[in-house]
Amino acid sequence: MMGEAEKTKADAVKLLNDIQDINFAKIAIILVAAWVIIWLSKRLLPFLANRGPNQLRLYILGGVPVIRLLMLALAILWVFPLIFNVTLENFLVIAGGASVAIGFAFKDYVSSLIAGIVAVFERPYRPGDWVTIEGDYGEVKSVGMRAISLVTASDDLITVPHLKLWDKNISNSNDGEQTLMCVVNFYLTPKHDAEAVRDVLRNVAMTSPYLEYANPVLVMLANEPWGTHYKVKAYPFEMRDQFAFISDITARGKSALLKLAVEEVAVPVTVGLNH
Amino acid sequence: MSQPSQTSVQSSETGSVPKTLHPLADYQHPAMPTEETIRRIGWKVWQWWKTDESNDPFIAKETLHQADRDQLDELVAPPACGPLLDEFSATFDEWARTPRPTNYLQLVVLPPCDRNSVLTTWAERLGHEVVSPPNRDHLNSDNTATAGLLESLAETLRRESTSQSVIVIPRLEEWFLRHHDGLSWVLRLLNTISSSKRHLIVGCSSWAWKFLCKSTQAALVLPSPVTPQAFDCDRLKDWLMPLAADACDHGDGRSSVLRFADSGKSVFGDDASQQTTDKFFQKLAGRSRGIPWVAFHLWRRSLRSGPDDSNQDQQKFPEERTIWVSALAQFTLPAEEADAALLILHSLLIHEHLNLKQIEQALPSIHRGNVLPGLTKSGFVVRDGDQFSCSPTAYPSIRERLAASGFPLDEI
Repeated sequence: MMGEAEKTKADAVKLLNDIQDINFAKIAIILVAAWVIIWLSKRLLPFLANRGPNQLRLYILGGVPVIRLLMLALAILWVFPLIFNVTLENFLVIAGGASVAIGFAFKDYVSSLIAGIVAVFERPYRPGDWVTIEGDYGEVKSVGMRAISLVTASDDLITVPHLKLWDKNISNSNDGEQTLMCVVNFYLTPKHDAEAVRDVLRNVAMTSPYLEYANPVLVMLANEPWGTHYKVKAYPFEMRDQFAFISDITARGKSALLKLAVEEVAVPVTVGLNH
Repeated sequence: MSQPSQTSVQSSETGSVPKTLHPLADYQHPAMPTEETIRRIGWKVWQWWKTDESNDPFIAKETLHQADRDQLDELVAPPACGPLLDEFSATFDEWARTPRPTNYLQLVVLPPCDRNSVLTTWAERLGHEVVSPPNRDHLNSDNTATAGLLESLAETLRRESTSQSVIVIPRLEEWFLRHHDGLSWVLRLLNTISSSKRHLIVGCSSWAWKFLCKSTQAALVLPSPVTPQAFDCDRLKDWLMPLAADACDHGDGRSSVLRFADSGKSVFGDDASQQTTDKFFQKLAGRSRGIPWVAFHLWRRSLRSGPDDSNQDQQKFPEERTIWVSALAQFTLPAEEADAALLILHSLLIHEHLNLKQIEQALPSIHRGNVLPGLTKSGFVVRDGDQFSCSPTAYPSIRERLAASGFPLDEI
């Protein structure tokens, strides 16, 4: 009896399995298989998303982080007992050691990883969404374990760690939807027929070839000390066309306003330089 | 645009009860056979990898060539679609005879690519008054001719009719241009007809109707659109087969035989080929989305003649004149400048036809380069004088691409 109790106690404090008991081939196969599946999903799903119907694009892209998280969780849960002697005491020892290491050396890194897991469930951004994070506006190209990649309208690639999720505002323009609202601004001198301008700008948006029919077109205006600020709010049917849509409304809006003989306000160059 | 052929207006459907127009929302296009759907998905995947399709047909494709236009006109004359004319009559005859109907306005939403203007043909056959559309080039200005046209229409509509005559505006899509200055006349027209005291039928293409509902809230004036019932397998067979059978009989003892290129079976043949024929027309109905003129043009395009007399050894039936029915046409939009191409095609569908200047006005200032000539050359767009329109044969492929790219679609 004494011998058995001592053996159990010895097993409990043994952190790692005996080296001859660890099946390294099995571990390698699990890790390689998980890596291959993650790699394939990162390559194949965006490929399919870009070639399939637009309506399915966001759903397909959204599968990449979910598959990665599932594969990683599965691989870790599978490999862990192959290496470690899993007991409550050992768990506490490992957790304690890990906490110290994380607390001192990898705090931000691990915080980003945890925020990445939270992001998969809370979904403040998904691949294909258009987001603004700390002034950077762009399309979420990929959601990695530690960070996301944004591609801006100027084709710059910006890497933003998930860490921002904890304390920064994340503005998502489409939130998983197929379209997003575009706002086109016109700044006009105060003396004009506002009804006529509103009608014309509404028609400009209504006749844009990029317009999504299911959502409303709105023309808002507000008096400002320098004149009248018009905002045309409308949705393109494909959010990747948002800049073309805004340009189209701006260009045709300008020619329509010119025809109405309404003047646009321009800030004097000297004022612009001074401020 | 071309006028309907009087010779082909005779066809009507078999069966005693004539079909009537149905509410637009109830339109159900015929389903594609499952086997064909899977085959087409496979074909698309194949296209992704740029691999050529290969099969083993009854007669080699290379030895056949597309029948020329004269041959086609001889074999299958451009139709005015008799069954649809009967459908219009069955729907509107009683309403036209009612002196004070509950609704003086009727809207018929027609599928796109109606190059023969089937509603005009029907109205002219019955002696109804047809209102011609204004010149589209003058739609974005205060044109006196258009103003006069509207005033006289307003005057006519204000007077209560003493006869059973109906006023028909067959193509509402020709009353606007998708431009910020191009909607005023259609708005005035809708305003004018909203208080009509005369029987008035308005025709509009399904794509234009979708656009007008958004841009002018036209559905508030014309709230209950009706549309022809889809041409399914049986309906297509009833319509096309007698037309083709008549045309195959040359009257001098000679006759042409229509045979499927992949099996060699006769299209109008014995019971043994019935299943093959049914399958072909099922595919044709599904592919054309039940639109008769699209089905007709797909059918027409699938006809092949050959092999030439010089290739006697390749003749399968030397004793007869064989017209081969090959697989239905598939169109692939070139990947280059696809965005500009889709914008042009969408614009053409909304307006049915446009000239170059109008295309410029209806599109954003994008780089179009040689996209339009390219589309014309590849069969997506047809040119009639200075007017460009979408090819009925390519329409199913165009609609699929527009849908895949997220464009707003029609309801048919």
